Amino acid sequence: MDGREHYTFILISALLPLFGVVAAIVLLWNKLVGPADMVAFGIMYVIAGLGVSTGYHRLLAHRAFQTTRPLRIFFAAAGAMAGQGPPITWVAHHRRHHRVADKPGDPHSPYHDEEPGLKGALKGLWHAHMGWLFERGLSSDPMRYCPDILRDKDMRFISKHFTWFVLAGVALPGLIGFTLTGTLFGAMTGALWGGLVRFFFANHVTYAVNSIGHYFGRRRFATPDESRNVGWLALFSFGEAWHNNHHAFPRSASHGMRWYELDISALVIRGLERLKLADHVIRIDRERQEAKALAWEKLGGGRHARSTPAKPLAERRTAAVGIVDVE
Amino acid sequence: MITIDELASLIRQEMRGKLPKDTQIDENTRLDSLGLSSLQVSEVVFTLEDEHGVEFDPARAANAQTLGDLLALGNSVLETR
Repeated sequence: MDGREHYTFILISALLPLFGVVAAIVLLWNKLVGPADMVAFGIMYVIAGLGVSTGYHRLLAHRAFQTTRPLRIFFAAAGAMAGQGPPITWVAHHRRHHRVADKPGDPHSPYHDEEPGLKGALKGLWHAHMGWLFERGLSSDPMRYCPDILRDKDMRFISKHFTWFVLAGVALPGLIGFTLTGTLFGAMTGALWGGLVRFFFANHVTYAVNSIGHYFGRRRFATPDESRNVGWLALFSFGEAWHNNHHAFPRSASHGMRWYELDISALVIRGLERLKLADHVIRIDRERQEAKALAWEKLGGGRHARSTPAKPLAERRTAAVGIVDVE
Repeated sequence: MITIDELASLIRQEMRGKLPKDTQIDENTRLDSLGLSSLQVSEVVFTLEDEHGVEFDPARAANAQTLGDLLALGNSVLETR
């Protein structure tokens, strides 16, 4: 094979399997998966994704913007439907992650219990991805990490009745399926795709931000952790994958810091602001980004770099509890 | 004034009957001995805040070991009001 033939071969071998998958889906169409299922999947993916990204993460954990009570309830309820835990617990773990990112005490660092070699790396990645969820002793005391969320009665209600919201996250796509097809079977496959399949995809995207987002990717800022910007994850994570930017400026409402860094959550927040439904939106201008980048460059980043106190501030007996950590 | 009975009933309510009826709850009961999760403890503390219209120092509430500690903290805040 000459060079040109070789290139053609690679092109065909790359594209043909993809066409095969599409063909397979078309053949299955209307038997096992129909357009109504895709609609249920899409709607639920957007609701749960925004709930986690815009709601749990930017609104609640980092107070990147403020909004009206109904919208705050909507975002928290949507986040609960994602099935990643009650808002209070989620926020407590997340704030702790920022306090001691990639250092002892981080609930989900891929460098946890670091071992050398490929096996050690995979073990670390697995721990950051999902493994940490199964750690029995793990608890981030919400009283220390998020008294502000606890003082919100609505957030306490949603946290307490969390499982009902998860069930609603399965019932709702079932309802969508029923509305579109008018059959009970349609309701069931709708619940399957918009519920279970959607849990799988949406949650693995979030997990990937914790695992891949601290392992593979570009670092714009030499933050004292291993956070990375992962461009290919940006679309499906609604912008959460600009994770190095986020660790550099945790309170920023936008995790994308350039026009080409797609951040759907930031667009939603901007839209709400235009509609006068959001205010106190935290923005970091280019000048400030560059000043901080320069300062970190001198200190040298990475997980061995000096950062916030060795022991999570909120866990010191005399510490005033606050959320000052995140800026 | 927050009483031990009020606190005990809040805890029983939070545990939704999972606590055996004959479990003794008094000032010396340790919070961690009842099997409450950190989320449930905070639920109790912040419900008390709401009902009495006060704010506790969450760091001090988090350091409370026994129900007596929690009561003392709550009532000291109520007194200074």
